[in-house]
Amino acid sequence: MAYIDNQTITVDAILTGKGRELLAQNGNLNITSFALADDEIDYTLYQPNHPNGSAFYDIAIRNTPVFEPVSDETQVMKYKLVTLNQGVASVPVISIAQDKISVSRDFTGNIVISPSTNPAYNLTLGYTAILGNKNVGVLVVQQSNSINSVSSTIPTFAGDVNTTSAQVVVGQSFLFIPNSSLSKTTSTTLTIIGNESGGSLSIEVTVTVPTTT
Amino acid sequence: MIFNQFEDADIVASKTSRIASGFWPNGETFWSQSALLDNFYDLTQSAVTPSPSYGASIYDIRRTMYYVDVFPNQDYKDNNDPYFSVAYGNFYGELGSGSFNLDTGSIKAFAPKAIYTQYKNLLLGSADIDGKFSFKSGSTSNLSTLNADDIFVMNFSSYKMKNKVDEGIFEITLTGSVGSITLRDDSPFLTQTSNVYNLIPGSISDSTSTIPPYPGLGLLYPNDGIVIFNAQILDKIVGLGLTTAPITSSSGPVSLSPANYSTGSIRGLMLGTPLAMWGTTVNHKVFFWSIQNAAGSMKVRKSEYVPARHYFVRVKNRDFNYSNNPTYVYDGTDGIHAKGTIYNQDFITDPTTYITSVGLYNNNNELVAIGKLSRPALKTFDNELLIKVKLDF
Repeated sequence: MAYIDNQTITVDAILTGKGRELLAQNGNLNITSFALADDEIDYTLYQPNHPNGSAFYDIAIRNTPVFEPVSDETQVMKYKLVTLNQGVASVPVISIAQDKISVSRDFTGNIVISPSTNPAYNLTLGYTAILGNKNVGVLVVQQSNSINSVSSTIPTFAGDVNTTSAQVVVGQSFLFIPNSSLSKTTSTTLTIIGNESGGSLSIEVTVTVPTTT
Repeated sequence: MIFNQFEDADIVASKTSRIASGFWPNGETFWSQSALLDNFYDLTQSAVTPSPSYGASIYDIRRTMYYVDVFPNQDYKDNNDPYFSVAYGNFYGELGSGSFNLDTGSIKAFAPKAIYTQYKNLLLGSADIDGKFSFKSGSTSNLSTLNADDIFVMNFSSYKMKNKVDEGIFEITLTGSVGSITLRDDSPFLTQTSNVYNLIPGSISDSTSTIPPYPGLGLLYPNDGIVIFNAQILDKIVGLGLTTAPITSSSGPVSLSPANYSTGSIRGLMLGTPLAMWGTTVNHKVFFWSIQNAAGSMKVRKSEYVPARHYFVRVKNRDFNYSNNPTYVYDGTDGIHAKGTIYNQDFITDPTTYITSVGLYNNNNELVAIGKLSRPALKTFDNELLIKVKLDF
């Protein structure tokens, strides 16, 4: 007779930099929710043709070493797990009409950024839009939603969004207005994150400055 | 959704955990006393005047007049990372007071009196009428109390000792010209816990169940990380008295005659040798010599009390079976599969994820704590997981 497998997993957690900051400011963390992530996993290592049978299909994944936690909250929880109905063939994908934005600083019209998700998702909590360099222009929320917090943690990658120069807004759709006083042509990234699905999309944004002769 | 809300019952304030480990570097409990170093001379070599305790001016009083720091070895000394300090105090502290004799001059800083008073204020209650440290003396059947006018103090770094020095796991050997004595605290022989324990002869590795007679020699205050020694009794037992000839800073005190003190002396002990370099007596330096030159290990364990909270992350069968991991789906560039299509057919019929991280969020969706699993945990529609996340503060 074998012992019953104990399914409780015990994990020691550490405070992130944001957690320490909030603890120092408020004296409590007010933790209300959790999310799960699989940052280290390479799902292409799943081997449905493994010669030893089905028990070995995911052996490469199950033995993947896992990183220690780091306190920089932007460098963890990058790929969150999501709850979807059973049987779907795809995860929600965020799309916008533009595959890139290239506009003159003198452009006076509206550039509408209206994200959508397929299959339908992010209908309640909307999207978080991050303009990597706010010197190139400004994002304006065209259609807001019930969640207007812009302090939520946004995972970043090396060379990605610089949080000190970035602009973060939350809503259902946005307007981009180029900076009319920009002195030289500048490019940055616009990242849209689904607040319910966790998926993201990035495009390049370039504001050009006419050359003078 | 990528976030699940905790229910009230999922968050449990845990009891405070006690984490005990060795006090010394790398969590060692034993440390050779001969390896210990103090910084007395380093701090005084730059003095313009031939004084270990004040600089160019007599008003430039240095802390070596009051105490010296002790380091496990040269590395820690180089980094000025002390593990404990030693000091000498005298109840009366009149001019001279037996320690560094500046007080006979014009400074009148009364360092030994300041030391005695500050430890008295810290450790002795108002019920202690005479305001002197008292030590148990004699066997348990014939117990008496000795008051001390002169004390040596060992004060452990609060940063190093965390919350307390553990009673029962403390041992030190002291030496002098007469002999040596190894001391431990008496907590293993007592039935009640206390804030202060008396030191008794013996080692923590002794298996005896009989408590030896109290020598009236020392008190361990575990929560304060302080050990008080009865300087006069220590001098009697190990010999810390005067020498006849000037000696070097490394040779230490060698006693010729019985202890050079008189009971109740308001001048305090004239312990040790006049340090050759300056011709003065520094009792805490002599006490350090007695520690450093003893052939033994100083055994100290510390404890830290860590309050924790447990979060029960309940991953139900229908939750978190899909992933935003880029390897989970096609990126749409192969011209066949639409972006977002699940890469593996098996995961369409039997959605599967592997959890490696648990993030705890506040109501602004700010990530305030992160926990990592030791290995990826399988999650499907057929299983549920209970992940207990322990967050220490």
